[in-house]
Amino acid sequence: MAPAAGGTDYVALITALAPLVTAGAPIVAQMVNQIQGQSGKAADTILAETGVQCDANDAKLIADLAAEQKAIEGGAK
Amino acid sequence: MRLRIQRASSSVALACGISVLLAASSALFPGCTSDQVKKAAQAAQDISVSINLAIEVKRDLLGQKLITNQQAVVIDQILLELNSADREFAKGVDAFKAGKLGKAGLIKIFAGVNAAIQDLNNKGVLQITDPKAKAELSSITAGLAVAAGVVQAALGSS
Repeated sequence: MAPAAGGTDYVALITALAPLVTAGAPIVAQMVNQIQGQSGKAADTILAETGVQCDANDAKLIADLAAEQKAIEGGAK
Repeated sequence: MRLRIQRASSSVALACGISVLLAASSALFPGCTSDQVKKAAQAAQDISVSINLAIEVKRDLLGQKLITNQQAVVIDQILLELNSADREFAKGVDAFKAGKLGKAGLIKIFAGVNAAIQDLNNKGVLQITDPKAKAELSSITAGLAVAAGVVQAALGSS
């Protein structure tokens, strides 16, 4: 799904993914609500929330890395 | 538990939903430059949420032994890079909004996000042999690529 010369090829993307979106309709509806909720938020609020999410992602990834490397070392013994 | 199973089984549809919604939200306001900052901020947030989704899907795939611990480590390391790049981009958007950073500077920062998304696809997802695991993670990288496209369109950097 490479971007077209003038930008992202949204039409091709939507056409390709439409059947899968239908299959996940309830979850997509939740995403619509989330994005509609975001539309009323100020950019500062969105950026602050992004920082919080990034911190949470870091914590999860560091914990996962430790567990996975421990499993690899355990398997090598 | 039920929610976790539902989330895992629907991850492809969810990622695709994010993709389409991102595309639709961008298409609603073509050529509107007054909300560049907000679009960029929303895309930065969508990327951070997609990273969280990628972590959850990777955990499920590892639990099902559809990917190896070695593959999971590679994905984690690239997701960490992407997460750091997204955090820097969010800070850049804030600086851009405050007039402390120009558009060229913000585009330069965003190049780090783009590079990490490409790494996730090339060095992480494409190296996975299990077709189900590859398909689920590919759907997330597709969503990330669309979010990147939204930023590029908003900044006029495509």
